[in-house]
Amino acid sequence: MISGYFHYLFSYLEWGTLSQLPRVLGMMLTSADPYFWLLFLIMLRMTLPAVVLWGVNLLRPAVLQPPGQEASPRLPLVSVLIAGRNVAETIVPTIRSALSCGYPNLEVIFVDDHSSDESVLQARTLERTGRVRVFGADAHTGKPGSLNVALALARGEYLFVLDADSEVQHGAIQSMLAHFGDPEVGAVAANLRVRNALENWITRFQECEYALNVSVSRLWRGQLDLLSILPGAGSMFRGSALRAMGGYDSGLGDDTDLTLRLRKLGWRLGFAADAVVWTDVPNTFSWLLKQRSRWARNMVKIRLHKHGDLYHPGRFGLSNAVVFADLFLLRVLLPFLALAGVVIYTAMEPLAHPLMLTGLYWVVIFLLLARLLVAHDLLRTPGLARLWLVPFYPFYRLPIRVAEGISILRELLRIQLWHPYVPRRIWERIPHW
Amino acid sequence: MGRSYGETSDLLGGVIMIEVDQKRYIEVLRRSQASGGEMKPLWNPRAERGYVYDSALEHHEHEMLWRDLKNLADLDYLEQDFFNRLTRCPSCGSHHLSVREVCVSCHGPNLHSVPLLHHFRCGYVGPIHAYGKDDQGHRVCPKCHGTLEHLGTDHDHPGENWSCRSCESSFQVPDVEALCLSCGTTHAGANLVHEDVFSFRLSSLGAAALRHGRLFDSDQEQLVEENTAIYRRSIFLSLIEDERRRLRRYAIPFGLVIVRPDAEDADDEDVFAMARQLAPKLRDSDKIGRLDRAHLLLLFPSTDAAGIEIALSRLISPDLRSAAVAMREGDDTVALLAAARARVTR
Repeated sequence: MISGYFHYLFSYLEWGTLSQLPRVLGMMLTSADPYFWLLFLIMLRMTLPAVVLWGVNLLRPAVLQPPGQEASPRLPLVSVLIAGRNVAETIVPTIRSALSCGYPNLEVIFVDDHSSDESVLQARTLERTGRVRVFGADAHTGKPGSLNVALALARGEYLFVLDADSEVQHGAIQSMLAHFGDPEVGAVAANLRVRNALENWITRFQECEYALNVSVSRLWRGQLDLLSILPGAGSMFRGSALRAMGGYDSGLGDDTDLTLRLRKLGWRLGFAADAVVWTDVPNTFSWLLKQRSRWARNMVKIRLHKHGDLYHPGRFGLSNAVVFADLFLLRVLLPFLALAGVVIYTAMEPLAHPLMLTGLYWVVIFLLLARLLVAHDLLRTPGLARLWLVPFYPFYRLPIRVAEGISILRELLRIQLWHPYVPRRIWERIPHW
Repeated sequence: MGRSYGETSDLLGGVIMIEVDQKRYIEVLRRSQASGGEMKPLWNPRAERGYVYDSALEHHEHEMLWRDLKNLADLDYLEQDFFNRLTRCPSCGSHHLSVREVCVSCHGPNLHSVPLLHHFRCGYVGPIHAYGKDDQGHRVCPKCHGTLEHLGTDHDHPGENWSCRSCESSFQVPDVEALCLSCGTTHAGANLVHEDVFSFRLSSLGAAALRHGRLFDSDQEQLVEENTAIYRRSIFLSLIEDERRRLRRYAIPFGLVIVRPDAEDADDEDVFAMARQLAPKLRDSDKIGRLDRAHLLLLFPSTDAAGIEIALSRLISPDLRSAAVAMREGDDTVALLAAARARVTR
């Protein structure tokens, strides 16, 4: 009976069921059922910003350009801060890319977090350039502590935080510096692109994901001052802002935490679409699930527990309240409600709702395709050759959503809070949000 | 001293020059014999190299004596032993160098060591002087105002750090640079010239040259010592290198044995007698060579370890001391021979 039901379910995934699309959309729009409206709102929220951005780019492209600096011969010193542990294979190309990215006045500081491999030796080969300094820590302190060591050594007016397995594209530093012409801008996020996109299907999916959730999303968020994260893999900070804050706090989610602390202090955050930083993404599904689980835990720990007071518009302004509300609805509430709805409706009317499920599937595919085309048109990523992945995208996202959901629940219920990302001796001394 | 060292060296003409060099070399050997058979370097801070072999010589004569001693050692008339290692200026050759740590960015020497402290609770990392103190004398974190109590439990020391007072650069490993106090130039540590200083002893060949009042320059004399089958040291070392190359390329084994008379006070005649005793028992292809005044070497081509054992049992009488030299890949031949010599020296 169960196999028959699944056969019935999957029959609606055939191409012929596309003809049901208008009917499903009609049902959703005319239905009085709040669940349909919930789904409709989710889709609207996911798609509308990208489509509006595309329209703005079409009609008023100048709006999306950075404010720009006055033509000035001044080239402020930029310190590139890199923290890494066991990165012997990638650290030299990373530092070389920074040195050769076309900005003359920079220093690179690599802090090795007590690696067991030859990371320090490899990096020290570049010290002869006179623009690279390497610090080998005597004990494992974690990424925030290592970045704070780099911060203590840095002299730059601007600080460019880079991951040890990333590469900076030529011109990226100038593109980010252009945003600091606005004295209210405290930090600028680089545009992360997937370096190992062609490695396998997992990395290809992540290239699509980065295009949608990183590049396009940050482009419109940057315009509206709604950026909620400055990636640890590539972000530039105003040195005075970061030093005044005392650098990173110990614990998980260092980049998210720093972003929200900057927002609370009233700094504007920018996004430089032209400042491309190529980074490696997980190439196995288990690694990917671990990474996303950690990110989900960070989100609860940092955004909800540590900086939950951001929702208060009277204290931290409207944009912070919007950032908080958007995140809470989109990342916590809606996934659980949507999943619960699918389960409940399928259980209640098993023979009627497969039509609804498959209809929704085609709606999702259509909207996803539209978003990817917008991303390609605006930022040339992902390549059009990647569009064949679209029908499979929901199936790629589903296990990630489940893993994230479990991690969110674990964190909300405070089950096994410690994560090996933070050394034990430090974990025992920090406040647990 | 009646005549200063090398005063005839301004004579011109090739043949005359060779004769002059010969005379000077014999003079050096004579000086060596007069000073007990050994010329030891003497510390002299005013000398360009820091050491001289004869404090009575003029400045320019030291350089010539230094060169002649090296040449005579290369020609096997002297034996050289490591004495010290000098670091010299690549510009002027002076040993008056001030070696110091300098900044990796501006190369200034105005550095100071600044320990960093890492506060676990808030993650703050800063120089130790950035942390103030409370009434009880505990350090206070400038970021979270928490108290630092015990090193290792709530804060630690991420590593040593240097700071440059000139350009404010901070770094963990400073560059090393040398300032030449003679010519005033500065040089990176890696560019300094390193030179070994040796003490020189008269070899048996040198003693024979003194007896004859000439160096041994004929074709035969350049290969073996006078009226013996003993190959000169430099020739024998090159034969050993040839065997090592054959071993590496074609896996053809060879044996090398160090021998000396058992008597501790053996003189040159005892060593020659030992050579005369051994030579008739050797195969045509085996060779005897000089290591130093008291030690000879026996080279057995195409012979494995078992063959060496057999040869030693036949050749070595109770009045001799011997040891097989183990040839390890990658090791320097001279160092291996020195190790073997130590085994036969009481």
